[in-house]
Amino acid sequence: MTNTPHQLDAGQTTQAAIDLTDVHLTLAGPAGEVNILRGVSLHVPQGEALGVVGPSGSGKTTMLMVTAGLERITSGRVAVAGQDYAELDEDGLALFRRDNIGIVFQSFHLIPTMSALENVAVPLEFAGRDDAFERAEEQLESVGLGHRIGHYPGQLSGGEQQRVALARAFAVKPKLLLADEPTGNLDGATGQQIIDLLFDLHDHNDTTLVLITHDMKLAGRCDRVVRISDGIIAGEGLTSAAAE
Amino acid sequence: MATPGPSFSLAVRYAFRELRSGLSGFRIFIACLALGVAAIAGAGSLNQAIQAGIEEDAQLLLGGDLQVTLTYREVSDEERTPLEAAGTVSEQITMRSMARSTDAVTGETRERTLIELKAVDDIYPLYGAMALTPALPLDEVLALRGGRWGAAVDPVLRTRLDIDIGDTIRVGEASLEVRAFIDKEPDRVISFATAGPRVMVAQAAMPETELVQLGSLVTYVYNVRVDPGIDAEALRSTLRDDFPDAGWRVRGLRQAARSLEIFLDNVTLFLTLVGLTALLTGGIGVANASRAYLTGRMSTIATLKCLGAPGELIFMIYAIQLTVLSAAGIALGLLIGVGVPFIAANAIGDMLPVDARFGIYAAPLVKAGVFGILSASVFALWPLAKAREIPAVALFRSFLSDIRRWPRKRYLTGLILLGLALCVFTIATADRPRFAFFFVLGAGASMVLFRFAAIGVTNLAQKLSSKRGGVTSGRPTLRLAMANLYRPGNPTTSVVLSLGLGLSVLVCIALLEANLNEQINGELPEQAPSMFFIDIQPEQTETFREIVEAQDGVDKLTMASMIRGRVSKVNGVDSRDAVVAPDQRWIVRGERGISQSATMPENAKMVEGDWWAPDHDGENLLSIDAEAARGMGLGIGDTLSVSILGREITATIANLRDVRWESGTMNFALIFSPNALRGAPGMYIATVNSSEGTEEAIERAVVDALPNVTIVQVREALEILEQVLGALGTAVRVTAAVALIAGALVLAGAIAAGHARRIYESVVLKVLGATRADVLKAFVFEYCLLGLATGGIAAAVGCLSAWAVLIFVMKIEWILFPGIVAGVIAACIAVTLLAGFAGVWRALGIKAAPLLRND
Repeated sequence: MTNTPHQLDAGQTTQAAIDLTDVHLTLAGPAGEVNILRGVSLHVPQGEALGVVGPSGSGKTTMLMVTAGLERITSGRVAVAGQDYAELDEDGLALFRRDNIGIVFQSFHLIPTMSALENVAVPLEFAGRDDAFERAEEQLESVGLGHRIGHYPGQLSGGEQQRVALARAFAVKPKLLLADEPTGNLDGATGQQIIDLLFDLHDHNDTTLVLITHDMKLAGRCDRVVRISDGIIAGEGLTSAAAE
Repeated sequence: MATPGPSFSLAVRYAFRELRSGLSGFRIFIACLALGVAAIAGAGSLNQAIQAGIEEDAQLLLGGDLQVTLTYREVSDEERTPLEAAGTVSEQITMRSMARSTDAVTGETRERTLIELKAVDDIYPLYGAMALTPALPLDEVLALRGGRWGAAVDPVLRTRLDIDIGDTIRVGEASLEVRAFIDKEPDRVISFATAGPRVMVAQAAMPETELVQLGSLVTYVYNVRVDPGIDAEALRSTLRDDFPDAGWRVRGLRQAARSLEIFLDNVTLFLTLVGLTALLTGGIGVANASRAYLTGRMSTIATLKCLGAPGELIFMIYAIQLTVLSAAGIALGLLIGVGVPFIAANAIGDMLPVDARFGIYAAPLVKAGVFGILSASVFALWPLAKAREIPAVALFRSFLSDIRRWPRKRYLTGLILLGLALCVFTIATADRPRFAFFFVLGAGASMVLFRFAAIGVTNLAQKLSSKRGGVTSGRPTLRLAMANLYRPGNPTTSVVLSLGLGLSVLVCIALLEANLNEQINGELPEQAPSMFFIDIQPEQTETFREIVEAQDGVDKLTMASMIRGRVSKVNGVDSRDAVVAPDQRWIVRGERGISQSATMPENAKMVEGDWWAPDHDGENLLSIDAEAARGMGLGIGDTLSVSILGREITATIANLRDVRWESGTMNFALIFSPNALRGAPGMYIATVNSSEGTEEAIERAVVDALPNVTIVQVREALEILEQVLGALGTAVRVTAAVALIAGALVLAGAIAAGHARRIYESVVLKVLGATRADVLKAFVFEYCLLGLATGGIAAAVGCLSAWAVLIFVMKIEWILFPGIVAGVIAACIAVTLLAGFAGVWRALGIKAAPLLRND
């Protein structure tokens, strides 16, 4: 990986999976205003796997939240799959997420009162799919959990829960998959399984992947890596994986 | 090596360190305890205040140190001797009668009304004083002046008879000048049976009224102020022992306001049980709050355990904290309880028949405090004992903290013992332990019933939502709602139990009231007469019949002779020693109306035996209510004796009748063959069924011609009854609301406890593409289902209890009022939705991002 800064042209014409242009996010804290993102511009083409690294508090997760439409920006422009977020209200963003985005969190965020199968079926049901449960079952089988579909999150190990979360994220075949430290709560071997699965699903579904991680080795499996520091993109480079 | 036990001082230190974080999670805990304790302490304190009033004013209330009352006759000289030997005797005559106001010019009757006439002697009252407007001495007011006797009357008559001071009213044949209105009559204890406003006259005026005839329903009262050195209570026993057949009622100071005391004790018992229901309902809130608190402290407990804290120390630390919080709740409850009588004094002080002595009474406070301590212990011990059993690792794992391991045996034993202590204390401290015992049984059974009902709801929800292709398929919001009803740590059980208990009481009361109103308004007027006539003298019967039958709109006139008598022997056994079923004991208690008839009354329904020949003149025969006969163990051929004016009449039972008391028509439990009562000074009573609006004319005609006849308008009496029932119903509902408030507190607590979960779920749902409307829908479903289930179960239990009370206790027909049931279910849904929305609204507005960040 190289650390050569590479700012994308704001006026780039090819339709990007993600297009962040001069994104600023300022939040009011108890000690005054905090500038979390200070002019982030990022262009991610469809199908790319992008690794995002940077120290804690640098703004990585905030950038992911902004991309998911879970956080409103102060200024700039956010567009995903050609959709400008400024045109959508909160519910519009929810519907857009439902159809286009899958998210995997470090803490899994499964609904504890629903079984693995029901958790995976939720986005499909929101999308009005009649075959929600069949699809959810297939998805769970694809992550190796076909035998645990009736189990509740509390009855599953951390690795299994994250596999359920992955199955849920891929259930609607999203154009964009956002993963925030997906192995952060898992041991090394389990984490490796999850990452293999993540990239496997990414490869098979031609999904754009944004992977936030502290693990440089893991970031190295992406096509490209950006480094965020203090709310700006401080560096970017292609990885060896991109050449493969 | 022996391990030393955990140090108590260490536990206290840790407990107070944790309490520094404040009481924010304990508002419901404290409120639940305070509410129940306040209700019990308040009821007890009010009772004590009134009891103290009764005790201190006993002489005033009784009108003397001893009181003898007799119906029909005055005391004989022989009976009078011991009374006069004991001290000063003041005599009164009381009876019901009619008062009329007359036109000053024409002398015609203008208005007429039923009154309670009281004739007093010149030394009345022995204790206390009459308060009159204008403030004149009583003897001056009642004296014969200018050829007219004076009267002091209830101010109500001012409007009812359209009279004022100086006007003349007629009572019987006497013309009385109204000289004062009565503000306070020292010995008049308000009773529900009081029929009319008071008219007080001098005893010397009574002959002029011509109301006192042989057999008239007159009560003679003798109040005695005993001389110093004479024990009134001993005199009471002597009078009862020396004159066993006098048929008099002798009351001492202890019985001064016996009926009021019984009424008070019943009210207090009811309030205490309501308070206890509130405590039990609130106990669920206590248990929930304790569980929620301990769940929130899991990481602390785990850390302490990891650092070497034994389970016993953990138990002690949190037991101390909950004890401190319970003490705060109980103290607050006692404080409110002490204040209740003072607040009540302002609200109902005027309605109280005695001057209550408000103050701080220790006994009811101690009782309420013990109830608070016991119920707090019972409900907090389980979550405490469970927290003690949590293995440190499990704390980190379980999101919902549903610890399925049972507490240790000693805690279970403790729990059982505390529960038993609560039951025993409830029964032991009640004035009517039998009633309290059934309450404990009923409360226990209801708790179990609601618990099972809650399990049923959770199972049903699980079954419905886990079925693929079932109702929740394709509806993730509905499934989420369903899942929230059965997930571990669900609020279903506590809400169904707590809110359900209070609501079912409300449904039951509302249905009872509606059924009773239906009885009064719907059924009675159809069959019941519109007017009752009392004290028709035997020689007036023909005149009376002619007058009534000449009136328009009279459908039916029924007349019967009536005399009052006391059942003295049952099959030859003294009635005091006879074995009588509790529900039929009324027949041998005190005096009752007895009739005679040559022919079978037309509404009689014969169960067994035959009516006697119209000219029967053999042995004395008796027709008796079949239920009463069963209660006394009597059948055809057995004998019953009654004592009338000291004369005992024994008759053989000839037949059994089925008497439908609820029909409202003229009925007698005992009807003798005419030969049996020959010579007894009977009067006649009559009932008239007439079309609406004709009563006034009939009343006028009868009173003008026969002024001694007393008339009771059924419609007016029913209106009064309806008002009393309505007021009672409102009072009961307001009181039952205490239990309902406790239920609402638990509901609020249960919903507040789920706040973090709701926020989390709404955020995750939003991430997965749910709109705000979807999220809202999920919660609306959840609370609707919860409200529907709770309301439905409460309605079912309420209906069942109302049905049982009406059919088995009141023995009247039962009507289901679907409107009431639907209303309660709808209200329950509305309450749960409202309570739920308060939290949901905040959850909806929460930003997703901060919750999804990795800590």
